[in-house]
Amino acid sequence: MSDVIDELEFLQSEEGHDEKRAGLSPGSIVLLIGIVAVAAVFGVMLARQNQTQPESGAAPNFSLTTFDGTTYNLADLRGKVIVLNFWASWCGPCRVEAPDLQTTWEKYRDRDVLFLGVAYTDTETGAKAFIAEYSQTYPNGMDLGTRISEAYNIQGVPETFVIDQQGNVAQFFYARVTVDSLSAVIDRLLASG
Amino acid sequence: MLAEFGSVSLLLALVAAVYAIIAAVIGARRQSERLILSARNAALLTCPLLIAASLTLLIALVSGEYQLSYVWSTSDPNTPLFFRITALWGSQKGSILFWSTLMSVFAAAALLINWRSQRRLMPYVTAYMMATLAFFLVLNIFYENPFERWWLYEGSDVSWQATGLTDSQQSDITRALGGIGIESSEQISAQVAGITCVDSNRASEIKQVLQGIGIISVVETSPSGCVGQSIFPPEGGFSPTATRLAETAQGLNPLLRHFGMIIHPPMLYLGFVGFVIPFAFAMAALASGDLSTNWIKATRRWTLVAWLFLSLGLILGGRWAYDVLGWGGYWGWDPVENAAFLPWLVGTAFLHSVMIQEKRGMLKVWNMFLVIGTFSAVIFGTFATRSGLIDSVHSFARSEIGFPMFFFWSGITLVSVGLILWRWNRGELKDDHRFMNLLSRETLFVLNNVVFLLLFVVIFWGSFGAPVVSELFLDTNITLGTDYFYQVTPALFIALYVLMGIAPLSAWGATSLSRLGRSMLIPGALTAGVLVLILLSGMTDPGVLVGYGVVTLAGFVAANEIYRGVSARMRGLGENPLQAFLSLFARNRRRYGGYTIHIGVTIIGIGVIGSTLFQQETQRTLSVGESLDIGGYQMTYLGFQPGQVADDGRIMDIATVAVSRNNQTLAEIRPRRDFYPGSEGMNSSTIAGAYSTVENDFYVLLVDWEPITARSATFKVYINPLINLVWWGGLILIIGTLVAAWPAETVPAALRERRFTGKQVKARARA
Amino acid sequence: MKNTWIVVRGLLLACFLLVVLPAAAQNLTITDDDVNAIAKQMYCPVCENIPLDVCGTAACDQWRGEIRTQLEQGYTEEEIITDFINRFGERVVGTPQDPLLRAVSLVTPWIVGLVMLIVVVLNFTRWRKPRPVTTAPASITDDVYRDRLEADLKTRR
Repeated sequence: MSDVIDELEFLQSEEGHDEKRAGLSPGSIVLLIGIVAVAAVFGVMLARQNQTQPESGAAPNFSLTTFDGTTYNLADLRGKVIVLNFWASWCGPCRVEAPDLQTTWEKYRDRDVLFLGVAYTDTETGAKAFIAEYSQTYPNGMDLGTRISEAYNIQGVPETFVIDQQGNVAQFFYARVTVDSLSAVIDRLLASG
Repeated sequence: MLAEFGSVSLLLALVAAVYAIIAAVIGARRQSERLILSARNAALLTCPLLIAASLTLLIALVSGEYQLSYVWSTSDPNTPLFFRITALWGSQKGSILFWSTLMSVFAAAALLINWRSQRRLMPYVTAYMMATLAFFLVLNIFYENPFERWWLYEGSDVSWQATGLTDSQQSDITRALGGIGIESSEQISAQVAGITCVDSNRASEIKQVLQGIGIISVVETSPSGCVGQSIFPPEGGFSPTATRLAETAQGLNPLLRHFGMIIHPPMLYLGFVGFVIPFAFAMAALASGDLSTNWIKATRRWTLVAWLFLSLGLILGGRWAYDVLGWGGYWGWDPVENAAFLPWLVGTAFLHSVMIQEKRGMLKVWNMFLVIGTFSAVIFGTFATRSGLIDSVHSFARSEIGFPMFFFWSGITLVSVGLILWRWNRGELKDDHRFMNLLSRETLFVLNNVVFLLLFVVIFWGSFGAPVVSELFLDTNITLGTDYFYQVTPALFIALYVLMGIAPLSAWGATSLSRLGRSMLIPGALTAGVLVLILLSGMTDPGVLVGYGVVTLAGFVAANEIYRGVSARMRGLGENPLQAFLSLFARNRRRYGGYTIHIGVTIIGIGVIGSTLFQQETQRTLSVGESLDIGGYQMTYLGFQPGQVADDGRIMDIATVAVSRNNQTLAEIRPRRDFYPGSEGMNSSTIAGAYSTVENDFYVLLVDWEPITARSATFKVYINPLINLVWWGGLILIIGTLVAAWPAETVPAALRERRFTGKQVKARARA
Repeated sequence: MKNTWIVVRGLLLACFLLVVLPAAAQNLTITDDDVNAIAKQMYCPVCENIPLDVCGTAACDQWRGEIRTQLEQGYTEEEIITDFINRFGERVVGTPQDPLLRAVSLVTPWIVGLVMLIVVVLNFTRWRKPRPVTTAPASITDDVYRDRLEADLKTRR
């Protein structure tokens, strides 16, 4: 009982002050909204930073100009299986997977399959030397302004995405690919498409 | 055993903290003495519990209990004892535990020291401190638990042929597996699909489901052992053998194996957690309605202590970067460095403006904002550097705690600001005095606050605002580097030094210009003298002259004030200079401690200007016996010792160079490259060699060398003028802060003031 | 004041480099220092926030090699930086070169600062307005300590 009375007294004494202004002044409201806005921006940014590479769903569109001057636009390539490989000439594991990529390319080049190599933060000289060294014949190009790698949220190189005939990501390889692992995915897509 | 003990201590600490919050709030509402005391005891209990948890982890680290994945990832059998101890804060999980422990120590100290004098505030203080602690304990228990162990357990792999499946078959599989709670990401894909390490019941369940949709080629295999990480053993789990664990252990991050890194993080953490106390008191004042200066009186020393540690942490961090990161400087305006600098800026603004409230009862709302801003900046910095919000060299790895920390930061900021506004709108935070005169100490302090906050804004914008805004709204990734900061901050720093020169000479209430001018006479003349000396030395760059003029003026003002105090005592009391000096400081710790800090900051300023504007650098490839000239020095490449193995297993490639001046050899220094076999990621570090004098540092980095023979090597050489002043100024700043924060004898204010110069006392005695 | 001065000096320097460097570059051998002078202003995405001249990764090595090649080909500092931005995006430089981004980066903090100053000044004038009911007028100087110090220093001269 006495507890309840204490509670009531507490409430009364609090209300005693509250006679002048109810609600917040415009300045206060602006301040609070400002804080919420700043927090929201950082929250969205955090969510964005926590985004990982797309593993399914529509593949982000991109356009890649290769070293021979051709421009490939993902949107124009429906009906083909696309193997999008991110690499750099300074990267060790990329050197290991380069021959596998070339072998797989040769295996499927006459079917509805296109390999696209994207050189990430690489120099043109370095990239071209790399392509020559591993005699790669599929189209390769520089990731101008790192736009493609940002769209695909890559964390490093090598990373490979296989995009199906409808333009969806069918498979994402975080580590290096092999002839077998890549062929399996391409076979599956070709069979179903 | 250790892991269980540690986990249980952590959990009990969380229970105690949560209980303390509830008991304190209910106790305060019902004015129940018993509940409030109980809350206090529970809050005090978190301290021994967390110390026990930290000690447990420490014992595990020292004794090499590699089954604990934290120990496994931060040490290996080659790690010397010293680094085993420092590994306690060497990685995310341990450092959160360490941080929580420090916070509970601070909380316990505040509860014990301030309990009697601040009875009305204490229940709320308890609740706020424990709420913060509880949050970090939740992180530590549920997200980043340092007591997780490695386990092996029996399990089966289920796999099936995935080649040649049609798309619809593939999606059937995904759907069927999803039906029994298996995400598609758990499957190993490509040629053979499969699910690893499930128990036998689960395996047969999967088999059935798959066969049910017509996949016949399902195979169940038993691997040698599945590996998992958890606190308590999974069913049928057993621990891996000690030798295997020891063999695979990773060792401490190479960059952290340095003296500066050993004390830099604890200092920084002490600074960070220290600010929880002024924050909790301010919040308690708002919540309880006791809006007098009580909370400020109770916390000013705590604020100084926190500020002391934060400053020390920043200085040591600079030293660490200078010695280990190998880029010739101590401050790179990296987001992580800035994240620690931001609370320092707001905290320093608070330290100044709080004096206005103490002396004049003004700026009550403003001070609340500042103390909340400081704590909010602390939490923001922790959040930004530990969540992967901003990529940076020395941030912690991306982790799960991003969102919890984000919500804690935004929640705590909103609630606190809401509370202030609520009290303010009720008219309970009215100032006792108004600003009388434009030229008064309070006005200058307000200006000082504005400049500090402007610095906060431009640095915050550069490190976090601009990159985030441009990525979200302009879809471009940008970094603002040193040149941004060199463009926007110098003007503000100069303004700060100008205020630092004038403010100490002004008086509360109002100051006349003529009086200000008179007190400026001696420091002004001294500064003019310094400028003439600089001009005579051939330096005519106006930027340099302005910079040095302003900085030295601030220092001379502080020094002159101390001198005047000493001579007043000498005249008034006939004390000898040393006596007068000591008792002047003893009687007016805060005032003269403050002046000492100003002198320290001046010396740092001189060092920073010198090492920034006059840095020289060159990079050259030298053959053995060849030499290069830079800044009046000559450096000769003497020889190379490759592959030296140190005690802790690292391999050092060391070059030896001789530094000489006027054909006189001054020193032989040995820049080197350390390589850490076995550690992942960044596995080498460039350790500079330096020859230090008051005038400058001759700083050499080993960039590259000709493979095997090392007949020639590439060096990057920096001349960093006056850089040692940065460290010495830092030392003086620390001493000044210690003087200001040292507990004084409790003498009633009236008596203390009378005792100041002794003049009045003597006069009365004569009369 | 100081800022504008720095900017002006920077511009002058840039003009000077534009005029002098191309001519000089063709016949001089490129030293590490020439490369570093440019690399210092750049950041490579592989090592965040470490300037290119002191970043130790293989990618950075390659970038520095690229700068050297371009210097040997007679490119100016500005051309090299613009080229790197085109290839790798705005984040390779410490301050974005794109006019919009540059303006946003450099001007926003000052706008925020200006707003802060205006708020402070407004509050200040409001504080200074005497209230209708004033408390006892404070003495001109409330600073007991300073007064006593000054008095002490004066008397015994």
